[in-house]
Formats: sequence, C-alpha cells, structure tokens
Amino acid sequence: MSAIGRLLWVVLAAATALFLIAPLLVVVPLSFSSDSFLEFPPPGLSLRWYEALWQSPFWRQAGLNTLIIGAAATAIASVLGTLAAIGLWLAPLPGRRAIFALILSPMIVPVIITAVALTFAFAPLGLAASHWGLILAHAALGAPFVVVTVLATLSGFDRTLLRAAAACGAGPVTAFRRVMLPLILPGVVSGAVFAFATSLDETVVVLFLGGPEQRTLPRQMFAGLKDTIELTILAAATVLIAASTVLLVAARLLAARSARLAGGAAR
Amino acid sequence: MTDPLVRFDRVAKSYDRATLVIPDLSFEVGRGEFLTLLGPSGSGKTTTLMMLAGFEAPDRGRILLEGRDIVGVPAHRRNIGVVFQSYALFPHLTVAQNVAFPLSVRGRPRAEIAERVARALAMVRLEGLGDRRPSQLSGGQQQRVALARALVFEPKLVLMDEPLGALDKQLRAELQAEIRRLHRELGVTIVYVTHDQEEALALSDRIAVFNEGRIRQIGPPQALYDHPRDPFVAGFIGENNRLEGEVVGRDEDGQLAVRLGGGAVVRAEPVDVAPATRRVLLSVRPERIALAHAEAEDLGADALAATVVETVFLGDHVRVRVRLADGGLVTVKRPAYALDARLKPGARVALAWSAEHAIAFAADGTEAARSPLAGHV
Repeated sequence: MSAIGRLLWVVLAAATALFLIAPLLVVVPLSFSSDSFLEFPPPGLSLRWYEALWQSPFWRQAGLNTLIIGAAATAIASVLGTLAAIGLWLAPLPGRRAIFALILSPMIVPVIITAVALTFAFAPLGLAASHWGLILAHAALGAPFVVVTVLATLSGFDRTLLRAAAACGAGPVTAFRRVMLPLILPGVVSGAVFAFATSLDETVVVLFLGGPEQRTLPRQMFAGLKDTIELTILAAATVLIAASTVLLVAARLLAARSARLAGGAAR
Repeated sequence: MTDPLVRFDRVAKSYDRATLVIPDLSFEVGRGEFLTLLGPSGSGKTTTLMMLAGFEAPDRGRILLEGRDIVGVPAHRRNIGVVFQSYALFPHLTVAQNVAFPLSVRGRPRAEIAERVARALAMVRLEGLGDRRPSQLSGGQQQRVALARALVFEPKLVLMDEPLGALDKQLRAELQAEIRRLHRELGVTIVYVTHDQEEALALSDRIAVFNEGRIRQIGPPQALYDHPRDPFVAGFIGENNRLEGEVVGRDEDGQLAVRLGGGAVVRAEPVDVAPATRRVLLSVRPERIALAHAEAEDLGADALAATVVETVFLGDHVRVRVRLADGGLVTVKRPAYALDARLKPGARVALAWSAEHAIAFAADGTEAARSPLAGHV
C-alpha cells in the first residue's frame, strides 16, 4: 500500500470512529456540567446531576427495575437459549431451519411489532403492566443472542467428548454439567451479556407493556426528555454507557479465560 | 467357547431403515481375549464396536455381556472402557482430572481416586505429567492418557476404535507394544477395531475379518494368514498373488491339478471347491514362491516360466515382479542376501511352490465375482 493510501485509510477509519463515538463525546462531558442548560462545552464541572440521579426516588426505582428485569430476563434467556442451541445442534430435526428462524425472529421482526403483539397477548393473561410480563418479553428478545453465540461455540465442540463421557460412566446430566457446559461457557456468557444489554436499553416494549411500576432507566429517560430537559438524563446515560462497557470487557475476559482453560478447543 | 464375555446373537443394524449395514452378525469374545475387528472402511466393524459400546442400537438381535442382554442398557451404565481414535480427552481438565473422571463420576472417595490415578498414570508411563493439560502433550502421550482413562475403573471389557490411526509409524509400533503389555498384565478383554492388517496381526489373539457387514472369517492371526477361507480374506490379510486356472485333475489326497492361462499345470490345495467346479482362483503368497534363473531349453513342459519385469530392493528383501506366459503379473518376495544377480529385467525365470502353499478357491460361483479384490493383483 502506498503512503497516500495508508494515510487515506487511517483518516477514513478515524472519521468513522469519530462519527460513531461523537454522541458520547458530547453526552459524557455534559453530564458533569455545573450548569443546567444543554450548553457545550460545559461552563464548569460538577457531580450535581449524579447527585440528583442518586437522590431522586424515580431514578432509583428505575435503576432498580432495570437491574431486576434485566437480571431475570438474562437468566431465563441464557437457560432457554442454551438449551435451544444444544437441541438444534444435537438433533437432526427435519424442521431445524424453521425452528431456528422462529427462535431468531425477535431479532428480525421490528420491535414495535413484537411490542404490540406482546401487549395484546399479555393483557388477557394479566401480564401487562407487571414485572413478569417485561421479564418474559425481554427474555424473548435476548434469547436469540444466546442461541447464536452458543451455537457458534458448539460448532467447535467435539461430539466424541459426549461419548467419551458416557464411556466413563457419566449420565447425560453429568456429561452436560462436567464436560459440555465448561466448554461452551464462553458462548453462554457472551450471549448472556448481549441479552442483558438488550434489556438494558430496550424502550419500545417497556413503553407498551410497562406500567408506572415498571419504569426502567430508558423509560425514565424518555419521560424525562419529554417533560423537562434535565441533565440528570445525561448522567443516567453515562451510567448506562459505563455499565455496558464494563459488561462487555468482563465478558471478553471471561471468554478468553474459558478458552484458555479449554486449551483452545472450544473457541 | 464356554462362558464367553461378549456374545453377538444374530444382530442386524440399519442406519436408514432401508439398507442393512450389518445383516446378521453372530460372534463371541472370550474372557481375557484380544479380538480385533479388521476390515476396509464401511465394512461394519466400527458400527459393531459402537453397538457394543452402547452408542448405536441394533435393529434386531441380542448383545450379551456376561450372559445379560445389554441392548437396552445406556452406554454410561455398561461399565465398558472406550478408547477413541481422536483421543477424546476433556480439554478443560488436566491429565490427572481426565483419568480421575470415571472414578469421580462413580463417587469414589478422594483418597482412593488420587491413589488409583497415580497408579494408572504410572501404568502408561506418564508419571509426573498429571498437572499438564491434554493440549500440552504429544499425540502419543494423549493416547496414553486415554488408555489410562479407559482402564482406571477396571472394566472387564475395553473397546478401542482405531486408537493408533492418527499416529505416525514409529509411535504406532511403540504404542502397540504398550497395548500388548497392558493386555497381558491386566488380563482385560479387548475388542479392537482397525483397518491395518499388520496391526491386527501384531496385537490379536483372534481376528474377525469384516466385509460388507459380515464376518468372512474369524480365527488366530496365523490361521487366517495360512488358511484363508475365501479370496477376500486371502487378499486382505497379507499379500497374495491371484492366478486364474482350470481344474484338470484331482488326486487321491484331495489336491488339484490346475492348468493356468499359459498352459502350465500346477498343484494346489482346494478350499471349499466342489467336485464339479471347473474354474478356480489360486492364491499364492509372494514369499512362498521360489524362483530360479533358467534358460528356455532347461524348462520342462509343466514348468511355470516367466520373465522378470522389475526388481525392487527394499533393504531386507527384494520384490521381483515377473510376467507369466499368459501375461499375468506375479510378485515374488526373496531375502535380499539370496538374490541372484542375473535376475535383471528381461531375464527368464522358472517359478515353483509347494502345493500346500497354493490355495484354490472356486471361481465358478458368485464368491469370487463378489469379492471387491477380484481381478486385483
């Protein structure tokens, strides 16, 4: 590559990166502003918006709801998604492709459609405006990520290991727990992180399905943006960004560790 | 066989419910025996082993282990050790944890596990490597770990599915010796699958030769080598020359006089050749053929004359390829030190063998025609 080509390549890459993170470059510094206006650059620095965030019962409740719904939905999505992936991988089902497409559909169908459908489906069951309703909805949205990442890990999993475990006297459950799960854990963990991240910033379904009791952080931000433009929202956004970053890094490290333990056999 | 450890009783297996990979299989494995299932790929030997291990279920028939039908017993309750070609070690566990796995699954106390794992690792000469991971070991070492894992819980029966297939020649010989030693010292019964006839000859008490889902012959290595019962076995175990001929006489002790394509008449020992049979297929081992430099005028009418095509020096022996009068090629194996320097390409030679080393199979029927090696030199 010529020097000019290389330069062009660097400039383009930098411009793309800048374009992608520019919003963050505005949001994060503004959340530390000492003023109450959306003014950039901020006239002074302070933690007043974080204090407001922390002290507001609305925001605290929203944070708690986000954590509860996210954690429960992630747990359900991880268990069901892992089982579904193993089932798809193991069984030579005739309708394998159709089932896979069905499981992935929440990823493909516009969220608004899912939200409307869930609202109609959940209302008669008494699941509208309830934590459980949101947990189940977010689990459905997150499970496809788990299925995809676990299936990817399974493609490197040697089936003979299950036979070897059986020949050693391990029943199916023991073989899963002691041989298969440790080896596909990187896939399960990254799937779970994606599922949690999905729940973390999901707004549409919450708007449709959640009642006042189920306000999550994105919902609260949405509401806040409509009512009063308060920089607390930016503080909340920064917290969300930080949480997502920590999650992604943690998932990376965990996956790398598992892969190393597995001797590189289950990438 | 009195009180066999394993008995296959009229077992049939199909993968697609249309074609039977194994139509009707019966055989026994004696206690403490080393039985090798030998055959080309697709002959049903691995399927047989997988049914014994419990990874495949037969469509029909019974598989008895110590007299009990185990067809309905899942693999993990059969208490049979299995060694796989791909080693199939658990990559997330250390060597010691791999070997400990069958014991810990069985809920043995910790102290006992530690002691038996140490003994098993010593048995396969891997002392001191217990803390390594499988990925840090060589192929030969990994297969030793797999052997230790299959033997550590002291199963009566151990199955091995081409365990040396992925190793190079020298390691293979080394591990063959190791497997022989373990079999001798532990008295365990081993059923071994391979497509390598040399390996089968080197290891086994008995060999079952598989082809197209059937056992063509089962017996001790030397019996199979010296007295093959059909052309397939003759061609699969060791090397054999195949000569077509016509029966022209039969003497009182049962030997046949066979006229070959070129007109020479040779004597042969018949195997299942009906009195009415005319066409036969002769099978002669290359090392059983004597060959001498000869001028045309020295040869009698019945002598088997041939022309040397090439001689290949292979260190300990020389392979001489000769062409018969009818155009057929014959391979002769002679010790290198005893080779006549005059046997250059084009030289005239006479071939001879004693009648008991030429085996005649009927070629009238379907047997020879069905053999995949028919027409193959």
